[in-house]
Amino acid sequence: MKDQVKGRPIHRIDEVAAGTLKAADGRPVHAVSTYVDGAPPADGRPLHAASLLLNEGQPSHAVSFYAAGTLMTADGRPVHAVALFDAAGAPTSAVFDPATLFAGTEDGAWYEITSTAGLFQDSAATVGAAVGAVVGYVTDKSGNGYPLLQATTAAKPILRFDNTISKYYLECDGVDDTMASALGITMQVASYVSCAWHTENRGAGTAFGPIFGAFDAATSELGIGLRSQTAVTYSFLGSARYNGGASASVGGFEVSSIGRGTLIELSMDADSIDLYLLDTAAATETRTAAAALTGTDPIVAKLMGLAASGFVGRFYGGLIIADQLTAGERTNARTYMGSQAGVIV
Amino acid sequence: MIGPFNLIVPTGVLANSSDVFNILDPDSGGAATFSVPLSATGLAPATHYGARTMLEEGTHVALTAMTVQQFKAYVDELSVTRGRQPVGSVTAFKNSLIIGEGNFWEFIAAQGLKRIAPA
Repeated sequence: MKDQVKGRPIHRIDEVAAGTLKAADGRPVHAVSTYVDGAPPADGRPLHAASLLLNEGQPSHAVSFYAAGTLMTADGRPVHAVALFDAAGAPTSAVFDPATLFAGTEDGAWYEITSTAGLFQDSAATVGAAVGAVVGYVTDKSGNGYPLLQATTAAKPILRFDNTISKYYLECDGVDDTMASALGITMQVASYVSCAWHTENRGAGTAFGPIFGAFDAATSELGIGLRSQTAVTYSFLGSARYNGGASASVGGFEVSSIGRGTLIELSMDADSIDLYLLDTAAATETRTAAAALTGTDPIVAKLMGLAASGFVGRFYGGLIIADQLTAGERTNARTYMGSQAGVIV
Repeated sequence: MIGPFNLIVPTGVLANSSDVFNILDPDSGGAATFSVPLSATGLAPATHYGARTMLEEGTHVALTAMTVQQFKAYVDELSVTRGRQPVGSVTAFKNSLIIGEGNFWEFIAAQGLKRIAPA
């Protein structure tokens, strides 16, 4: 373990799928906790006891994340080497990078709220983001130039940091917050949409509207949405309008009563639509026949608070790709997006 | 910025309110601040419009502690600083604005208002 990356500073550890990070003795590590710079919790959260070794071979019972280059154990000793292994036990030098999905000049967008980098308070991207302040610009990391924008302060979500899971997120107030991409994306029938988000609470009243999705600007076709009355119901919205409709969407399906901590993923091709939902208790994957899609309408990415629902949602990140992903790509993307919300898929 | 704060204005002063917030908002989209339609029944037409927003500290003071004349001077100064379209009168907006903190839905309910659901 220590020989693989000995001496190289660790600037970041990304959460990986269960079982893919292994200790020197081969036992899996299921969680690595990260904390804000210089502020680990007093107790630290334990890994599997003694399963992660320091480079000098001594066991570590807790790992905290500090400023760049200073990964330390709970007792303050520096960690100089951590190796990642894939599910088959083979060493791998890096975790999945969504940028690889756009390497072939794929159209789409990729948003992350993993730090303040790429986030700005104003829509002109001149004032850097800060925890507790509004966010008016979220960089599109795909390189395609579709930032999420909001120029009205009242409608901007607020950047928050959850100390429990050590994650940044955008908090939508459920009143008037919304962000949208600046440019249209030409969405194909073969498409992939994923978002890492979290239901903070469920309010009473009439609820509708998507948290994140890709929508035809005119008909709101193709997207991930939430439509709720008393229970939280996530729906793939076929040809139903994103902010309307009383029940099941045309050509789509619904999965009811999904709880907090949910990652949602929609993948579709000419033959089928796959919807993946994950809450803290169980994952649900549903496959249905593809809806009749118009296919090439301009799409915008939208992140919305849910007007009138009293719902407060957390947005950790999102992916929209105007192409069909391979099974491996989808697994990697799902795992990656799950890690953005602090859940292990 | 501080907040967030809950704001309500009557529909009759929506245009004036939008003109004022076009100046007060440090970003370029302030004219769209009041976007939540409200009525006593929750049905159209809207009698009021609401917003939930962060405010610059100076703006919060201006909205809550200044006289109309003082507020007009504050807005005029900001319009120059920010290069925004000046507003003629702020009286209707200033005298009509309801501002408060806390849960937005409880706030509008306390005013006898409900949100009008989009069609």
